[in-house]
Amino acid sequence: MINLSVSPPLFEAIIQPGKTVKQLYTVSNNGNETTLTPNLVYFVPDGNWGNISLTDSKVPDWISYDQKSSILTISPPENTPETDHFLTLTFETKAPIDLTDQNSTSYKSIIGTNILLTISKDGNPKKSAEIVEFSAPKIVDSFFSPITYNLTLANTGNSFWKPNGKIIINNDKIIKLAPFNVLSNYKRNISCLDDENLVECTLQNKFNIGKITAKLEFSIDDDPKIYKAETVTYAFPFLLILVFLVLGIIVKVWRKKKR
Amino acid sequence: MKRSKVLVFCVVFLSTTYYVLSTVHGQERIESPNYRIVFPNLNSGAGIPTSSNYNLNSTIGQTAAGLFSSNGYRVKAGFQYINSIIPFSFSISDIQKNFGTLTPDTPSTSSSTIIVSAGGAGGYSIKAHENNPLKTFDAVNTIIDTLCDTTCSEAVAASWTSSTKYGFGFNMNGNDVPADFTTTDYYRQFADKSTAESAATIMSSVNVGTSRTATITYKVNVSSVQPAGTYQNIITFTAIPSY
Repeated sequence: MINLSVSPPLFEAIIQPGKTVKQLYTVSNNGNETTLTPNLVYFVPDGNWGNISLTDSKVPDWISYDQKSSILTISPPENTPETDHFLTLTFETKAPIDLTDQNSTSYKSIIGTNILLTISKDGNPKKSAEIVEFSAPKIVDSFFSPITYNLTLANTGNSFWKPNGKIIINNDKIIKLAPFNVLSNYKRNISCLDDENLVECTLQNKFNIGKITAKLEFSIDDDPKIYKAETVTYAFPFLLILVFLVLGIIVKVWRKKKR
Repeated sequence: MKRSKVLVFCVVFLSTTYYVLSTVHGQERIESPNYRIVFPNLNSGAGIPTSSNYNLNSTIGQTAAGLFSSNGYRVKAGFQYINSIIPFSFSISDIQKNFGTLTPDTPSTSSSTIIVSAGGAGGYSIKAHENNPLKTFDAVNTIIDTLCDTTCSEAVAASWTSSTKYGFGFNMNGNDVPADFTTTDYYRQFADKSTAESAATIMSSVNVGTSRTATITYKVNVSSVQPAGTYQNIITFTAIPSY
């Protein structure tokens, strides 16, 4: 059995060139005895949902992980360019030694934890956002049709950020955005929060009618700028009207027959 | 006259229904801050070996999320919107699967269970690849990666029920598995690292989840002309939380 865990699953840092920051990791193996080999590599986003693909690119030598102390050390030299680094610290098991001489497949496992790093001289890198998509169905039935809002944001600045904001529906109902990290020069689909649970951004009313206006409002990290967008959905009781129509036709036919 | 009465009735009925059913209420909780300091960042601790299981590190200090500011850097560790110290964990029930003696036209199957807990993370993905197709030690003979009954690949599963279709493949069944594994008869090839294929996602979720469980089932089927020998390869599973 292989049973690996790592904590924290995500480490975010913004650091000035010439400074040093350290982070302690906990990695456990509660499975068969094996040797874990740590490695630091760059990652690239895989799609818009926050998943990643590891690359073969090695990290600069001012980012290191000490296996004995389990400490990650980041100490960019004075002349380090102001840019973001998206990394994964991985721990890899060795394949077991085969003693059976059977037709078989052996397992190796890699567990990883992500590191988002911004190098910035003044601690205030340029941050800007673009609303790629804020949409909802244009027309829905009043019954049985929860309205789901699709939100995709793009990071057009130099540093990763999180959106802080909400979707306000008809100036009444509020759906809170999940503060997902959006990486510089990438897009990300944003979910919403229900307490601490990640959920779709959905208006769960049992019945809606008329014009439903959803206003998106968010800022990014501590930036005071408020980004706004709006989308409108019209809800009509199509099913109910259909039922009335059918009933009307039945009554008409019945009356005709009666005559 | 009758028509206008019906019209008035409909308008009154729909308006009443709207006001009764569509009333919504804002939640106070929505106004709470987005970020939480879940744990102080103690930055202390030491490696403490434990029992028979290998522990790269056990810490008595900062084990999870934290936040501190200091001159020259700012740090956040963990997912601030999740009040949880659950680490990201991955387990698989075996370290090796033996297929025994392979009989021509008689598929051999074997399964392992994968469990993922991303309670402290926003989501996760598990990717898998093989170092190469099943090969003999001298690498002369190979059991090909399956093409299923018609065609399948490392990215697309297809039905594989025929006993005269040969190769090595896998099926996924359970939580968070790709939708193309329609039934337990649907198989894919493993992505082949030796031909520079990228590891393929076999489980993923955008949501927080604990003990997300799936079964991976391998299938090998050989023809009567398959040279005798011991065929082996290595599958690598890569488990990474979302960012």
